[in-house]
Amino acid sequence: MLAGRLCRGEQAAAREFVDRYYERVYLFMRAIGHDRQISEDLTQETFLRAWRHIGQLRDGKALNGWLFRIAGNVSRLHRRRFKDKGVVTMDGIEVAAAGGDGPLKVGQQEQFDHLQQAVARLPWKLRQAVVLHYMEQLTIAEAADAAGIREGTLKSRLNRGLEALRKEVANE
Amino acid sequence: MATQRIEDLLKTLARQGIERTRPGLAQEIKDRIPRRLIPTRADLIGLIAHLRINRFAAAATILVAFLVVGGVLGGREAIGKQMFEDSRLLLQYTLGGQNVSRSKLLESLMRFRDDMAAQGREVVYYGDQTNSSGRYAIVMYWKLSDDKYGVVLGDLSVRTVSGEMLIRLQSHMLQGEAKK
Repeated sequence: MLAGRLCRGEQAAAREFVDRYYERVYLFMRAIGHDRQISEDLTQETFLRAWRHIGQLRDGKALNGWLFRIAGNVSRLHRRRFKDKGVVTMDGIEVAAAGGDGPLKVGQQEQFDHLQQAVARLPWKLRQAVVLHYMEQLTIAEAADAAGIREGTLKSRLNRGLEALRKEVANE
Repeated sequence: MATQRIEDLLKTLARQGIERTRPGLAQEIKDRIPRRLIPTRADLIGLIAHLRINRFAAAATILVAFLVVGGVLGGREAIGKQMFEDSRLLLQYTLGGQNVSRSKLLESLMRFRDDMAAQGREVVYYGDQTNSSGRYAIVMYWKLSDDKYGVVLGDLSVRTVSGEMLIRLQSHMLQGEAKK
C-alpha cells in the first residue's frame, strides 16, 4: 500500500505519490476557481504540506481524502489571504475535445463554460463539495473526509449546490 | 434544467476537462521532496492527551527541575552528558512506562545525585530505602538556598519546599516506616 510506504518515509513512494496525484490536485485547484499559475503554486504547496504532515497518515487510510483535505485547506487559506486585495483568479478550464468522451457538440462548449462560471460563483463550502464529489469524483465518504465534515452535511451541501447551479444555468 | 442534468454535465465536464498541466510541474514537486522523509509523530500530542496527567506532570516537572536546578544553579556539568539519556528515559516513562521501569528512572536520579554531590552540593537520596510510590515519601532532596529544598516525592513529582515542610515530610516518612 502506498500509504504504508509513505508512512515509512520511502522516497520512491513519495515520487509515486506525486505522479499519481499531482494532476488531480492541479485540476482540483482549477475547478475550485484558481487560475493556472496560482493552481500550480497551490499544487506545490499542497505537496509540501503533505510531506510536513505525513505523520498523520495511517496505513490503509484513503490517500484521496487526506490529500484533498490538505488541498482544500491550502486553497481556502489562499483565498482568505487575497480576497480583500481584489485578486481575480478565474479563468476557464480548457475543455479538451480529445482525450475525453469524444468531440464536443456545437453549443456544448458554451454550456460547459456557463456551468464552470456558475460553479466558480458558488459559495466556498458548496463549491468545494461539488468539485470534490462530481469533478474529482471522490465518493461521498472520501469527499466528506476531505472537507472535514459528516457525510450527511456533504450530501446537504451537494443538494444545495446542485440547486443553485440549476437556477444559474437556467437563467443563462 | 433538471438537477439530474446538472449532475450529468458536471460528470461530463470532469471527464472532458482534461487540462494539461505544465511539463515539468511533477518534477518540480519531486525536487522538493525532503531528503529525509521521516514521518513526524504528529499524533504525539494525542498520545499525551490519553496519558494520566499525574504521570506526565511528574515526569515533566522532573525534566524541568533537571534543567533549572542543574543549569541555573550551577549543576550544568551534572546534567550535560546524561541529559539526553535522562530525557529519553523520562519521555518513555511519560508515554506509558511499560518499557522503562521505575528502577531505571531512580538510577537516573542517582546519577543526578552523584554529580550534585561531586560538586559539593547538599543532596540526600532515599530512593533505595523508600521503595514506595507513596505520594509523600521522599525519594531525594537537595538544598536550593536558605530554607529552600528541592524534593522528588514518591510519585516522582518535584516540589520546592521549606525546611519546615521537609522535616514534616521526613517525619511522615519515618512514621510510615515505623508502621511497617
